[in-house]
Amino acid sequence: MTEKIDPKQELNEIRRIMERSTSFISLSGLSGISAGIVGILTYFFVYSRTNYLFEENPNFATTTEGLSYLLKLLIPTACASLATAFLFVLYFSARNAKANNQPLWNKSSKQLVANLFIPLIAGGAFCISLLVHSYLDMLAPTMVVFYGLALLNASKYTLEEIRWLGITEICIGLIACFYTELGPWAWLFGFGILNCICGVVMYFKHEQS
Amino acid sequence: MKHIIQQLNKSFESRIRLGVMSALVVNAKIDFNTLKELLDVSDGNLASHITGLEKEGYITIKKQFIGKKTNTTYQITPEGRKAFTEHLKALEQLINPKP
Repeated sequence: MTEKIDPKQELNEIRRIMERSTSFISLSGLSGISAGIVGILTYFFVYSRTNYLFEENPNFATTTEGLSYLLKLLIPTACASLATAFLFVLYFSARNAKANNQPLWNKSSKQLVANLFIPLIAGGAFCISLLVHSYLDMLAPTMVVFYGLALLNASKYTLEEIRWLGITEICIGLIACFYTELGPWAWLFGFGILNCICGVVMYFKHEQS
Repeated sequence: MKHIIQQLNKSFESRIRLGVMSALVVNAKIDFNTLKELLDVSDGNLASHITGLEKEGYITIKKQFIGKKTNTTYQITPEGRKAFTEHLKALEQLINPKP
């Protein structure tokens, strides 16, 4: 039984099983790209629906009707784009899992989803409170920060790139917290472009075969 | 990826035990089917190795009923963790022998 043991190979094997048993490796890069595209579309949708109002009246958000308009626009938009992005992630990851002969819904993917959504929902609720109190400048940066925290929290259960994506999002969001005029750019960059970049990196690193 | 395990299973049976231990050392508990999927082995093969590991006192088996179904989960024991850590150390030393 004990033929030649290759310790290096054996250790790699152990590591691989440890990683596979604790993390969801079928997360597809394409899902990151699609989430990024959803982010970019959401940005331009919200921009087209709000920008002219702020040009007419810079204090638009502090008026009662302005606030209720924003609440009615932003909450459903955020929920819809999150749901769409999540469906794309599910679709591409299911495809990837099938190709790898792995289950989509296993212990690690459940933990991944739970650990992603707990900070994300907390962030969403916090952002609604910002809206209600008319702290509009802080809205976009806060969303980016919480998204980063959620990714960082979930990254334990999936590919390493997600950890770096999370950390980068947190940094960008925090910079925009101090320079709030950068808020919309941080949002576009964080939810759109960064997701795409991370997706491309993941795709070429893990799925090019 | 997958073919490595299958290849190894044929040549070294103890690879399955090593796989079981590797998975249990980083998870609080794992059930039978998850282990089976993870290591890509047959029921009988996995069961016999699990029994072997339990006899050695490296893992504990817990049986629970969820409705009518039995759900069997496995946990590593402190002895098992120690033995596995020592095995890892030995492997590392094979790669980097200390002068």
